[in-house]
Amino acid sequence: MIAFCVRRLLWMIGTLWVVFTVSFFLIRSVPGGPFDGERELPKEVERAIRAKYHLDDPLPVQYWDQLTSMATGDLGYSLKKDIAISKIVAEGFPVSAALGLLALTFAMVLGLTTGVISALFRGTAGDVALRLAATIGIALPNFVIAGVAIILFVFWLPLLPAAGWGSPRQIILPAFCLGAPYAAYVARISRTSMLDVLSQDHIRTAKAKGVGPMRVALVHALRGAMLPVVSFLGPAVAGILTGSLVVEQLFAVPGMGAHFVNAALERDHTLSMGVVMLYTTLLYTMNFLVDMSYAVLDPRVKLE
Amino acid sequence: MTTAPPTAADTLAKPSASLGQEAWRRLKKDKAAMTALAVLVAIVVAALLTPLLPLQPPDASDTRLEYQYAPPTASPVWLHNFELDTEAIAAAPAAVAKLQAQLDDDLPQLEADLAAAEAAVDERSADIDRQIAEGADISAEDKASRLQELNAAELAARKTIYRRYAEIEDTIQAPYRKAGFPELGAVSRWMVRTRYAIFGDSQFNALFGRDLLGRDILSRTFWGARISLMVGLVATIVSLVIGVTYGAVSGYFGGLVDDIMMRIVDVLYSIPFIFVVIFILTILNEERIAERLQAWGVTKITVFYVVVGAIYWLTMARVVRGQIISLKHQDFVEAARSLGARPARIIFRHLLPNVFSIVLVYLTLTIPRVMLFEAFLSFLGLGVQPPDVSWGLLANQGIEVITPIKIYWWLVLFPSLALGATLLALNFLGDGLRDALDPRMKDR
Amino acid sequence: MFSRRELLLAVFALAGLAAALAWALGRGTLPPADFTFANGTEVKSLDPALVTGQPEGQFIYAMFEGLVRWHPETLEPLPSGAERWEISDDAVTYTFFLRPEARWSDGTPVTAADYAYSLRRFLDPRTAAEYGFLAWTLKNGRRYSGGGSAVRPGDTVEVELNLPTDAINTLRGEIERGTLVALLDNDGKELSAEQLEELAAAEDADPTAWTFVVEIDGQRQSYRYADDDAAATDAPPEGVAWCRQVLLDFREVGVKVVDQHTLQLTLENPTSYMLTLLGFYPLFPMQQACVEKYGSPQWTYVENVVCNGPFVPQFRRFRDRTRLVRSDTYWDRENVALETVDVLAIEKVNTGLNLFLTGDVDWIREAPAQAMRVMLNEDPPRDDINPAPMLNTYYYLLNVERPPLDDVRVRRALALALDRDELCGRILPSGEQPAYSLVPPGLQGYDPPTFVPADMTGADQLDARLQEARRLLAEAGYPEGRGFPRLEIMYNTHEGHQLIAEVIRKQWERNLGIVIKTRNEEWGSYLTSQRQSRFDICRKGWIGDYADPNTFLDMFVTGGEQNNTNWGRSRYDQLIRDAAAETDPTARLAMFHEAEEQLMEELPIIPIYFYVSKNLLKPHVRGFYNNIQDYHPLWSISIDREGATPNDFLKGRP
Repeated sequence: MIAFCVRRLLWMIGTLWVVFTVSFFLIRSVPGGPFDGERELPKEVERAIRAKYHLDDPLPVQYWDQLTSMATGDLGYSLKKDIAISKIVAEGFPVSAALGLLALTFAMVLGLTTGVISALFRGTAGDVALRLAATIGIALPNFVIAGVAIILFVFWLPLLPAAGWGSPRQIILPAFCLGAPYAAYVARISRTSMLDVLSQDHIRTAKAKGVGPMRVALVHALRGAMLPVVSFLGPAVAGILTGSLVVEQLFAVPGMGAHFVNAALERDHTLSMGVVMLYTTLLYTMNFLVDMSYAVLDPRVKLE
Repeated sequence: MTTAPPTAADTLAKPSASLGQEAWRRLKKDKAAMTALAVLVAIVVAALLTPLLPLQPPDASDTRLEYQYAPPTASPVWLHNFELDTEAIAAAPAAVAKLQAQLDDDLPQLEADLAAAEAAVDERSADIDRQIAEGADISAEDKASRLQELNAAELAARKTIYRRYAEIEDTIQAPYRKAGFPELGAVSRWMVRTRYAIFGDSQFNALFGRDLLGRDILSRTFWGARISLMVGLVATIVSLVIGVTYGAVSGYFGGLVDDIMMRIVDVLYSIPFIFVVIFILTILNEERIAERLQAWGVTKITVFYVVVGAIYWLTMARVVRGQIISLKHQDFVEAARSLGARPARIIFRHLLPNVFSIVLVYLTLTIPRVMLFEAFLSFLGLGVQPPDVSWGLLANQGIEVITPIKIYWWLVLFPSLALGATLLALNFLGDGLRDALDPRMKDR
Repeated sequence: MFSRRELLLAVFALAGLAAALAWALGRGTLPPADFTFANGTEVKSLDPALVTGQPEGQFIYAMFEGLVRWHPETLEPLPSGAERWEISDDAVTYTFFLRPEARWSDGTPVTAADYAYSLRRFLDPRTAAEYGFLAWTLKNGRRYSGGGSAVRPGDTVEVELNLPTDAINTLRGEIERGTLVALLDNDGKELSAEQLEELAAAEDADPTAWTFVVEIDGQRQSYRYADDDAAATDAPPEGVAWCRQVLLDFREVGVKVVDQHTLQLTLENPTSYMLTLLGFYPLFPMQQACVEKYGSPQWTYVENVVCNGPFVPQFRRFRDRTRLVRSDTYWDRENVALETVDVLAIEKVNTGLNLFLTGDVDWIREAPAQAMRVMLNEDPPRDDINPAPMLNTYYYLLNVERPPLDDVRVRRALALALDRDELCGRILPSGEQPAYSLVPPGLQGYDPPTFVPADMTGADQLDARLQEARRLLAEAGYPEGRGFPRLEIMYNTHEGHQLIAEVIRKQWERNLGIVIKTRNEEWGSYLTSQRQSRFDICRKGWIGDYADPNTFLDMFVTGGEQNNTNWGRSRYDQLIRDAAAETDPTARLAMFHEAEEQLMEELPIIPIYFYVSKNLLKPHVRGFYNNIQDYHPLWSISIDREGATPNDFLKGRP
């Protein structure tokens, strides 16, 4: 077990380095720079700015500088906002994580419940209705769900505030909109894998032994049915915890999600690298937890 | 008691006639699945035959106030104002032939010019390289600036040829463009002409409403299906093939192989795909490369399919790997192994069929994401560009039109409905297929 | 029923959720501010010298104050940091008498030295101020900000020596003053005057490769550029010392501290808009002690910043909310009505509109286009909306090197065949005005020349314009568009630009029978393509920096940074140069008029429309006016919830 963890840790460092290297050169090779704007700068000024941010150094020098400073935990300053990237992360990540956890809880509870019910009552009208709802959840783009939810719950029934962050009432709508598509995915996946498991031998054996159907479903089948859900959620959790551009913008939530797209579009090289590294670390951790949970959920799997 | 899995495996791997027929018989009994299949076939056929249908051209706009954001209307159902300049179409082949003949005459000269220009560039470049080799202090930038003039001449020569071809293409397309169609292939042009012959100037009114430019949403939804279905299909197949194979191999072998393969997936997951897309685009937009690609018949859209497929196989790989890990210690696999089956055979014959159901579900989840993702790629400049249209592009308009002041619901509802219906059909068909192919379901 | 491991997992998950919830709820709610507004995306910085955008400007106007401030309605410069001023007869020397009671927020007086420090820092190439060229109006300002590449043998120069690598980054190194004797290139050869001019003309000068020989107190000393890291680790070559940079002596620049409360500015040329310019935020002062104590950007952080404006920041949450409170030390604090102001960073216009409609914010700068259309057509008219003209133009650049756009008849035909009335009347939501000139109307004393006779610009004259366009196109060799090569309109990805490009594509295809393609690129790629002139036709928008035709017209001098059309005429360049030196305002405007006439004659650009401001403002807000710069300082704003009369914002509404 410990050997397994150590090995994964070493792998993680290697992965981080590869991701850093590939991203670094990819980012520098796209056209456009962080200081381009609608107004083209006089050459003198542009040169001065590049010198100030050491963008005029040879690429290998920049690479080494950034790699060493990252390795010591210094993420540097954003090129587009005069603020330390560590501060952007420190202010934004907890917001995204809190919102993401809520959305995730909502997605898991709703998704698993409907998925299991759907599987148990396979073929009934209820099953069809639930699957319909799940399909709609997948087919509708995020912003449509959010737009409709805002009009319903902010303007028609003035129950919730339109946007902002800070009070509990402000969290409900964004969490719902962020979680809805994931709930739909979880419902679809858990229904299918539940059906798979229900037809397997050990369930039949359990039934034959006279175990009650509810107990069979919840204890024996659910455990097996969780596997695909978990391996879907591993990467998804990293995504959900780091936020979503659309939801954050529509609800003015000061999270991390917007940076993933905006930093790239604005060519904010340092911030891009910062969020990429954060995401990689999270993703890696999540995948690690997923691999661990295979062992927890399915006794037949051994950690090798 | 390990009867079931091998049977399922053999069903897929070596579909003997009787088993295949058996599955089809079972599928036919599943009403939901058959309805879904019918719907899907109908959607695909409608998409294929769209140019034949009496719809308003998808890019025909009218910005008079009564047309802008006109809500859905069915009175009257038919309009009689479709125009197609058949005379111009009839005249086009002659004009094209003339242009083509001219081009054929000029082409040797033009190509010689181009070759000369290319040779001049190469010569100068080699000359500079030689100077560098002899110790002259010439930086890469210096070299580029010295070559600039010749490069421009080469580009101009290339452009002249390209322009001549474009002129021919434009002459063919002009009458259709004028009517409000995007660029059409030969078959689609034939269908448009046939449609005019059958329906004349009749076309459906804006049953699904109109957008800001007065374009018909009904027609745009149909035309959008052509691109969106293509994206969904191609990208998903690409992601399926790569993802399933990769995940299965990784999961089956485990150990170091698994570690390396999964770390590669982690790396690919983490690399910001926006940069990848912009990077690819930059290369594609480089004028030399763009024209070479054009010569090979590779369009941006083709590249785009591959990019999307290449991004979406990652989750598939992880999921399949997870399933394989939990399956590979089961008795039937051990049995196969002890019988001396090779790994490839075990993976493809025994293991993959058992993850079939979860893969099917993933497919139905991937397709809509790909279709919506396409809209985002269009935002970055890859993907669909107006006057072409796709469901993703249509749905994206919804961002702006849902406000508490006024909701132009038809702009969002109908494209979403089309996407939703396709998905629903796919889901039900997927479930039906799963059941039909899984003999364990027989007694349920 | 469940194994211990599973229970443990569940407990962990629940604990995480509880912690997240507790944290999320623990931030608490704030009492609402007197005035709350949506300020667009999060600001880049709060350093007056470094920022350029409108949201940033809004902050700087609240926190800092320059020598003058603009009247919130007429934009006329009013005394603020300076109590009064004198202008010499030749209009190049301005003497400002500072307000003695003006204070920084730490209580210390605002002095002439602070202004001089700020202007010097603004011009210093190491500051890298994007708006730095605005201070080139000062005598030798441009040469000072050119650093080592702008000095010539014979100049008195200042050499800034290196500091330790851990020094605060805003500190200047020790300064050595002397006379520049010679410039040596990398091989130690002296650079001749001609060589220097050549390098400067080609913008190729690289002072980091040069050796500067300076005579200081009769001693010759050589310097080479090195950054602080290199200076700390590497030994300089024999007989040479490291320095950060070599600059023209700042005493040569037209900034002079006469006494603690008197500042004298000398200009390069008489500049009629100089006073107005001094009310523009990049030229605002900052406190030297504060800047040098904390370094950049830390000095602008809420806990450190010292400012002299009507408001001081209380807290700032990144991408969320900044609270400003009235400054206790501001000289005019009695006349500032608002005590607290909340500035929200809102990225999406839809979100801003939602918050405005629920009453959570009092002012938004923009609403979604579709909503705007509906709101403007409501009956009875809404009392919170009133679009007004602005100093902004939307236009297309034509690459005049690419045939057939090298033919002025083709360019004219394209400009004429564009139906601006369809675009402005039906597509754009807020009453944008059709543009037939580059400079928007509304500048005092300047009536911009149009590219067609003024009586042909009406909506009813479309047919006449189209006829002319078709005639020109035929004349150029493309009757009815036959044989006309495909052209491509490039724009950056944005629904608005896409819509306009689509409409124009259709208009040209319809009106001229030619084939047009559109190509969208995301922002960074679009800017690069534009810069390298890799386009046929490219969209662009320009916001006037100050109320003068120069801010539009000097863009199109040969090789100008904003002139990516490859167009250039020596007569035009001459006119712009002469206008800069002209003291008589009427003659000066006449020169601009002639220059714009030439521009409109040759049309390397196609003007499309003039923007309007799209503010939405709650009726209880007073002291908020429409003006062509869309400038809305917080110090003039007050709240009156009982007031019966409509507020000033609605003035002039049709």
